Amino acid sequence: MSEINKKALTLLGCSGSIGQNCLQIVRQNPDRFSISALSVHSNVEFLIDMVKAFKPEFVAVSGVEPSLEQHAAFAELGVRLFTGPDCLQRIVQESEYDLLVNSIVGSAGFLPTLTALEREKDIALANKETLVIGGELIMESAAQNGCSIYPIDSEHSAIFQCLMGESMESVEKIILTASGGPFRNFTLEEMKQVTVEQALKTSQLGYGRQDHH
Amino acid sequence: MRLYGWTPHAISLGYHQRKEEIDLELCREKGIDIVSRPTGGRAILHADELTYSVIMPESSQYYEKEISKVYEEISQCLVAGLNMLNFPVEFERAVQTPKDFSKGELSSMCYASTVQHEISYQGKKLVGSAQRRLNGVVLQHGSILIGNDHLDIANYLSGKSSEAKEKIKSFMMKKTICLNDLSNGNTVSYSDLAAAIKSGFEEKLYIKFLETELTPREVKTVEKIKTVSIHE
Repeated sequence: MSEINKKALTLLGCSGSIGQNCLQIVRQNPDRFSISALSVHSNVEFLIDMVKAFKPEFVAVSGVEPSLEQHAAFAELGVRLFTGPDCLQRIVQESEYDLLVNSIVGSAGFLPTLTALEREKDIALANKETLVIGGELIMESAAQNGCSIYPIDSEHSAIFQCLMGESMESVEKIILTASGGPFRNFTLEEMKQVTVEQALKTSQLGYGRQDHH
Repeated sequence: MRLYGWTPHAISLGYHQRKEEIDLELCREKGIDIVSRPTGGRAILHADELTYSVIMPESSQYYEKEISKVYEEISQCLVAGLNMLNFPVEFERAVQTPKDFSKGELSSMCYASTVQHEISYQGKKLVGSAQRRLNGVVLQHGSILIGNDHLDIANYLSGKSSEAKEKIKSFMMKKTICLNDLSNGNTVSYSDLAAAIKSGFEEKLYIKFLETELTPREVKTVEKIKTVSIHE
């Protein structure tokens, strides 16, 4: 693979499960990917280790203020550190990358996505809130700037992969089913007796009740 | 723009810091106030310094979407002011890569990474600045060090041994410099510095400041956001 095809990534939320998987892919494919910038919410020690491994130019810590010793460690490693409320914006604006991997949780993921699109960067998106808060704005900006948004969260990515090579005209509906959970082996007759309480009690992810209108 | 000093001296905490990181007992004893900043970064002891703060709406002709552009614009105004007082400081802008340095200059390479995008003298930071954007307004504020009292922040950190405090102090001494260090034994006056900084902005931006007192509404806002003093 030539250098021309090498993609530089800016990765938001590098200590979460998607972030760590992403770093694993970069680690296994050093000829195809490099890291320009990384962020964590509060796992500063993990970030220091990742700076040593991937040598990004910029890092951001968005949820805590690193200790003086940690500040010194980043300085020694020659990486520029941003903290405080606008730190994700700073690295998305200032680092040079081909693809923004946005795998942070929460509404703080929205602005960085929009900023990256305005810089004509492609997005690998696992931050659902980006689309919940301003999906229209995001999709419009992506179209205007000629950018692609790749879904990398599990269900969305699965659908995306299923549709690869298919014509959208041939798709009538996309049906997402909820996972079966404890009712997986129930017969239809048994399913008729299932109560809401039973379903909520067994929610392992703690999502609780979500009423959809 | 507002230029100001601190009476009494005060410690400002960065956005994510909690007051437990500071030795409140010692602050009370020494009459040091504590405030919190809307910007990131670590605790600062505001003592012998000139503090600046600039605000501008998105509609300003000096507004830029990119945070670093506004940061640099304001930094260049500060540099212009400091140069008027013949301080040979500069805004370290260029990204310095190892190939910029000749062999055997490892030490300068280490400091280079820490002073990029700062107003500094020979790799030591003179002005510490931070920016925040909220509700369509830019705030940038920072400290221009006149003396070395800021080093005393080490004494006010809670849970540190005296050995650790000394280490922090000497680390900061290596990384920062103040105007009195650069003025050949003369003491820099607060008012001369303030006047020069004001001129720096006027010259760089082709503007003229109108000097005013706080408006009654601003005074009222101050009263509203002032919380309980730790001295009470």
